[in-house]
Amino acid sequence: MIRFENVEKSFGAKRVLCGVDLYIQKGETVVIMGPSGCGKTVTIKLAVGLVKPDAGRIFVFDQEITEMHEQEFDSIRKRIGMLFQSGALFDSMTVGENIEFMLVQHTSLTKAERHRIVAEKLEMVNLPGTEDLKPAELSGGMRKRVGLARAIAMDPEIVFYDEPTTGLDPIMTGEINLLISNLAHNLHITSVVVTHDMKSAFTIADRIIMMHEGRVVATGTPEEIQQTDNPIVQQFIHGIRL
Amino acid sequence: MTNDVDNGKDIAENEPPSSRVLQQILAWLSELGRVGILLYQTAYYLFRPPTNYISLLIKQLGTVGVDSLPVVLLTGIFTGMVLAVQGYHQLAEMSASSWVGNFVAVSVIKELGPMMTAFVLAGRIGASITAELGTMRVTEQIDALHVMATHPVRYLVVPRFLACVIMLPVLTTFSNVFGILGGYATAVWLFNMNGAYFLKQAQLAIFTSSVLIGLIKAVSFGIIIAIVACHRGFSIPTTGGAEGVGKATTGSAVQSLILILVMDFFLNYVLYTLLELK
Ligand SMILES: Nc1ncnc2c1ncn2[C@@H]1O[C@H](COP(=O)(O)OP(=O)(O)O)[C@@H](O)[C@H]1O
Ligand SMILES: [Mg+2]
Repeated sequence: MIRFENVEKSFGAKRVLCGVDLYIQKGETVVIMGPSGCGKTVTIKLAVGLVKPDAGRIFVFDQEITEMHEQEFDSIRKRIGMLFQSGALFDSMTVGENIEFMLVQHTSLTKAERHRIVAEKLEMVNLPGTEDLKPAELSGGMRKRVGLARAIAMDPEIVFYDEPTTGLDPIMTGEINLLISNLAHNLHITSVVVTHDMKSAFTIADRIIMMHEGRVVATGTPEEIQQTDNPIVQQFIHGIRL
Repeated sequence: MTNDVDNGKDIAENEPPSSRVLQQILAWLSELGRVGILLYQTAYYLFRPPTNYISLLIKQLGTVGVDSLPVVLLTGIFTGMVLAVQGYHQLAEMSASSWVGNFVAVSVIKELGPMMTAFVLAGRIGASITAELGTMRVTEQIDALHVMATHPVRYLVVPRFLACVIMLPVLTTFSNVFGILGGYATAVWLFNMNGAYFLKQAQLAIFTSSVLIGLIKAVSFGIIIAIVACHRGFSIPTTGGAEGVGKATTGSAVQSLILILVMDFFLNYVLYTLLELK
């Protein structure tokens, strides 16, 4: 579904990605893991076209997006959902308006149909009846869940999650992880989760991609990653456990 | 609108000054290039508006136009009053005080009406657009728009751009009317001039082309305010935080003011000298 071939990206003089190769298959839940600043967010921003690569090729839904025109890319983006690290809810709109945003922009559904979908998605993230609240009135965990409801409003085939559990308490972390797993299994969504939270990674991942200083250093199932003798991976796992 | 913002900040300390000057010039040029791209994208999406376009536009017309009206009227009326006082004394030296009506009308309609209105709007609307878009940028809301297959220029810039381009001439017209009224009131009440004569003078001084010149200026200033404000808001790096937004906001107003003055000079030159309008 997604493939990176030798992707490079620099900001000014700073090299962020130096030749990333990775693939993500239909239906899997892949966790991209690595220390802060190693280029995880940049990697998923490349996949959704928020950042353009300097070199290499990127494929989404088996179409090369590297040189793709915005209009064409938009038809791909309609099949993608993304949960941002901060939630990125539109603070001038209510929760309901946030969730129905793509439905308003890209479909001809009636108001009643849109409201039904909004209610259904809010139900899925355990926040029923919160349509009329403003993002400012929500707690961090609620904001992430509304962001999630917005990301799945158009029933996407792939959802990207950027640090879905960072900054949340352990109970909320567990709940979000459960939500991600449920969405992946019940709706057959391909999930790409970026995190530096090891525990979450091992809980939800079918496969883990380990990044370090702009490179993929290891990839495998959670068991394989735990048993690898790659020193960088060991250090990361060990460092967190201390 | 991608995240590739590096503002040419990577200038090494130990390079010779000439290379630093060159880098600065290159940074300016690339900034100019980005403004050009924004203008192009705005023109492109102007004809491919978002779905709920009308409501977005009406909201902006309200903010840019209706909410600015009181300040614009106040500025306009005082400009006219000041011009009447100045004009009366300056013209008195040439025994031409009776020309105050002419002086006020011409100055207001061709120069000060558009200019003062644009200044008010640059400070009021330009800064607030930059602050709003900048905040959306650092909280990833602009990225979110983009990922949701709605180009930020289409959804955010186009309505603000149109509101400025429509409202600047409208507000300028209001400002002009109040400017002339201010001049009238001053001439009649302070200098005991004949009101009808003042208005007659004003009317004789104004040609269709004078009004046209004022409106051309107003539209150009509207374009400057909207594009500068949106560009500054967008080009805050995602990592800029609240400080980045603050800096960009003042930067936006100052840059608009300077560009408005430059544009005013340029338009005066083109319209009077080259096209020989009156
Ligand atoms: N838009 C940008 N402009 C400049 N530098 C950036 C930008 N986005 C990311 N970076 C830099 O790239 C590096 C990797 O960032 P990121 O992918 O966000 O790391 P993380 O793995 O923590 O998500 C960081 O050092 C960051 O400073
Ligand atoms: Mg990150």
